[in-house]
Amino acid sequence: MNGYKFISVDDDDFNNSLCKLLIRRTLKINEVNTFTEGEKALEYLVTSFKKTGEQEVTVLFLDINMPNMDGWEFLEYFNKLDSTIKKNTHICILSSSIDSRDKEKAEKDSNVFRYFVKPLSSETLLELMNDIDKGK
Amino acid sequence: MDKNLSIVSFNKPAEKFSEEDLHKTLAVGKDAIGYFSAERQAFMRKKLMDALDGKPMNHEVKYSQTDGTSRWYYMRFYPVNNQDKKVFGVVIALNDVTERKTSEIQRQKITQELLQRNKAQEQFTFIVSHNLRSPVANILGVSQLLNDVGLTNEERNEMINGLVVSAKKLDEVIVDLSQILHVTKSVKENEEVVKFSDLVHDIETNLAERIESNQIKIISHFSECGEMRTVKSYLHSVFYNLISNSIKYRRHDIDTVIEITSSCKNKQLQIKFKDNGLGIDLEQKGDQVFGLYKRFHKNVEGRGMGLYMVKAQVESLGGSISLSSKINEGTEFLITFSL
Repeated sequence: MNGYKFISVDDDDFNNSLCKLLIRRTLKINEVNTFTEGEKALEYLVTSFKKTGEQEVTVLFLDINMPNMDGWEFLEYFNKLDSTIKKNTHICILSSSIDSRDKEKAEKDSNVFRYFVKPLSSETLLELMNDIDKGK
Repeated sequence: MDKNLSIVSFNKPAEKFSEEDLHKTLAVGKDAIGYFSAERQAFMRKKLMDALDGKPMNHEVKYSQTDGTSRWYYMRFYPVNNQDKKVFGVVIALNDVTERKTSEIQRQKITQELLQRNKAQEQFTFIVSHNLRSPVANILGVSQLLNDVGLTNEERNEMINGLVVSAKKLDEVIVDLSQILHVTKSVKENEEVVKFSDLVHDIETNLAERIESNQIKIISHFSECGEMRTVKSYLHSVFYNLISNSIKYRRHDIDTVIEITSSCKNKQLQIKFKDNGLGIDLEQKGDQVFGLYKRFHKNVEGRGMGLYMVKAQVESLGGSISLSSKINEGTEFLITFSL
């Protein structure tokens, strides 16, 4: 699983920790960048892209329900980013919401790669990496 | 009525209407305008003159009865022509439409109540699927990971701490839910006369420590309108939430001043809460101010429950609430009750 970057964006920092630990235990990857605010995560994507001019394949877990910038607003801003960033970032909504309308809304967004209901499990994570590898 | 608006003739029902609704006895030759209440006379004169000019008019109007009830009438003014097709007078015709009007008003009230309930139901669904689900998801996530034997002690401790926090959050949401459901129930019982100055005094005592240590000044003017008949616990909670919000979201570089004033005019009672605090960006977040679990200041402790409850309580007391605010200048809440 080398060459992958992981980001978790959730105002609930404990979910970020859960995500980080699950990725570490399941994929043996130690580096996961976590953000409690969407703005900061966008800033990070842009600056790290500017530094190198290219971007590793990134898996970004995004919560929907957040104060200030919520997941939907995050997606709006994300859509305005450089096409290289957009192409190499796989956004996976990770929401606690079991409201099917959230899922339907997410699936309409072309920048959303997957929609998961919390909690994330190792099986889901392995399946997801498999799909990304196959270029699905 | 002839062209001078003097009464020419009337029938039995008109006589009865005049006695019961206008409290005057009809008589031929009298000026018709004099039968109407002082504030309606100018309007009636204009409309009757219009009718004489060939413009008939109809409208629905409410009259109070001596016994305190009121009746609705469908009132028509129409010109009467002589054989030469010239207008020589005007007729006032009344139909008692109280029954239809009452059921119409009743229906509107029910529709309003249903809409309200629908909104509450939506809100409830939202809380269950988001806020209640969120700590549950964390607990599920932790339980999966705790089965993993490869965790370090540090990781295991982090997970156990997270479990404790999530369980507490779960409890909080359940407490919130029961409060919300309690408010959305209708509350007509337990009304009493509540003095605004008593509420403020009581809250000042409750918050004494925060008020004194932060040197917060609370100025209140209730001379114009000092009290209302209402559910005390709700109004207390409204005052408490608004005052404690002003303290919570104050500016630290200036002295905090909270002004509370009440006024009575046009059959409305208004209570205004004004502070010089951090303010809210209404252009960006205006529609979310009263939303449940919505928060606008990152560095201040809060759950996003206060303003939601304020609005729900004001509405269940039959009032409405609005606000104006500017970042770094302050916020003003205006609560309006019809009298």
